[in-house]
Amino acid sequence: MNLLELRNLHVAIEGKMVLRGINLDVPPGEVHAVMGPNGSGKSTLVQTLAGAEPYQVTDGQALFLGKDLLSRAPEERARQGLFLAFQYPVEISGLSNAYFLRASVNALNRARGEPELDAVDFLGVLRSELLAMEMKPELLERFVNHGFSGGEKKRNEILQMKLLKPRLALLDETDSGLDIDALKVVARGINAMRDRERGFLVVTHYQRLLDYVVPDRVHVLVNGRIVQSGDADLARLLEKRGYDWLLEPQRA
Amino acid sequence: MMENRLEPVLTSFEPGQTNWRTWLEHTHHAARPWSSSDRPLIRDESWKYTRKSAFNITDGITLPTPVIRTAFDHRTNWQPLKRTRQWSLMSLACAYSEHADLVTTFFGKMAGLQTRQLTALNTGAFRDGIFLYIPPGRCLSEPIELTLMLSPGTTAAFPRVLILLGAGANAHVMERHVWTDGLSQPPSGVNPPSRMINSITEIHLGEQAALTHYLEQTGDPSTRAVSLTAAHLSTDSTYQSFQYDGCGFLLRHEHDIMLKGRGSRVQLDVLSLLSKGEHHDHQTRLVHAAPATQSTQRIRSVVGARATSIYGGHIRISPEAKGSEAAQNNHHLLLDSSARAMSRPELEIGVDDVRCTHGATSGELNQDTLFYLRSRGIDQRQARHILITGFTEEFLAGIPSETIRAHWRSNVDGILAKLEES
Repeated sequence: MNLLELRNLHVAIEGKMVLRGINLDVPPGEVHAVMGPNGSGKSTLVQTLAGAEPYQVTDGQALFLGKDLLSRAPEERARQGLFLAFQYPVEISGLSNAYFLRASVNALNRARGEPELDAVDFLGVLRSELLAMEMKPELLERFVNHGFSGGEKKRNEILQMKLLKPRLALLDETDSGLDIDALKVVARGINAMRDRERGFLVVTHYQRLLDYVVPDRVHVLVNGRIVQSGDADLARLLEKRGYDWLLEPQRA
Repeated sequence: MMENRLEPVLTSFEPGQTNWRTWLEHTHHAARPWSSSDRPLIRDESWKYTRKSAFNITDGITLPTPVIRTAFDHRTNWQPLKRTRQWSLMSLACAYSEHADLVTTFFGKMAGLQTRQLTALNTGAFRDGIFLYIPPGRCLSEPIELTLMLSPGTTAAFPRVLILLGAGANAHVMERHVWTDGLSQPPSGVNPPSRMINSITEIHLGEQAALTHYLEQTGDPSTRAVSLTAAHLSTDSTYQSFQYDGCGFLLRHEHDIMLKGRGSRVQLDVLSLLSKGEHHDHQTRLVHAAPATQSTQRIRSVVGARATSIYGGHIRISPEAKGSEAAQNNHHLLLDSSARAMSRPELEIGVDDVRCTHGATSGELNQDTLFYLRSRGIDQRQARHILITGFTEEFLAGIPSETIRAHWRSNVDGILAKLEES
């Protein structure tokens, strides 16, 4: 069974149509990249799948593990095994990062019928993951994403993905704003999670991340539609030629 | 000692009371002309959003006497007023005979009669109060707790507190206003009589003195309390104030701070929790009257259904206050679409070369932040709770005393649980 199946998905925001009929399958064990110029609807796609409110599905269907996804609340989607790494992780005053991470892990553990972790057990789990993401321990004590650099915010997203162990991870421009070292750490975090069960939908503007996280499939999104799909070579072709050659047929 | 435990301050007159009586009568007399409601006062505009008449201000002052108790540890036992080499804590009446110069110099100096009708009303009606004096150079390691309570059946009270720190003195003072009458709940369907409290705390800090002042106000649905904290800060002194307003039908608090000495600093942090239908009004007036003075204000409120939270913040930077810095922030978190909030900053800057900033926000929980938490599997109810707690935690995390932080945190948790239910 596919992890994700999108059929003719149409999405609007504030009355303006952004996605105009997306068809896409993500089978287990595969990394799919969604590329495209600014404003093509890449972020809308993953935000809609995660359940962000301002997006309205006007037509079509989305199945996650064979079941309807769109009727469920965001927290239910997460508990089913869906994860979104945010392009712009929000800052939350007054909430320590460590507390937030544990609350998230325990919310999923409860849903899965697994025991909740106390602060001490959790710290043990956290320490090794923190080390792997090359994050300073002090980032746990700070308020969520407060005073984090751009790179630290993105690492914090991948850290959450590793702790929450989703079936399908949606990564929204996780590579943007990262220097090359941070990019490698983030890519290593993603690659460490790849296995035969788990799938990834990686949204990116540049091909850069795909040098380190080699995708099984690449889809090009233009103006709310997938205009081209291919293997990793397509990403390299886009890097060389840009998106313009794909925009032409749209205008005709 | 046991008999003394609950002894009201007012009966603990010591020799010299005749003088005190005379002085008190003189003070009452002086205040009368200012307490008349038809005399226009400078600051009437700050009453724009709170009806003054709600405080039942009348001329006839034949009201029951409040009990003012002073406690060091409210969990164990009450202790009589105390005097050590480190500090003096006594009734104003006693202080009048033992520290006559201090009382006559400082009483009514920080809370001037002519600026505020309620000050005149208090000054014209108070019978006694609390006097706390930390002599120059003394540092108190233990916090002092002053608890002001009402005797059962009290319908009006005029508490008065005078806190004086000599040069270089250092102290932590917790002032608790418990505006309930200590009786058990009235039978259901019976409204308790409303109570009017008009309290004043005056503070004077000598040069390089440092006071950390905690103020806790709690009441019940029949409480109507107006209070003033008026402080004068000498050169290089520091005043840190943390105020927590837990519950009360109608609360109005005013801060009147005068940064008189060069390099003096003030920090005001306020958290107000408003349950259904409550009305809280905070007014701060800060005058930077000397060079290189600093002020930071963070006024926060969590506003429940049909409740109203008001903030008015006046900062005046005098021409002499070169190189001063003032920062004012006000945040209202509205938990319901029927909650209301108002914010009115007023900045009066009389000199260049100063930094003065202010910011105000008012709104419901941020939807993007809620979505972020929910996308991690946290349900909406818990996500809301986490965010509201986060808002109050910004206040709590800054509290230096661990004991008070824990005490207020558990109090906040209790009120929030009720607020979130409704």
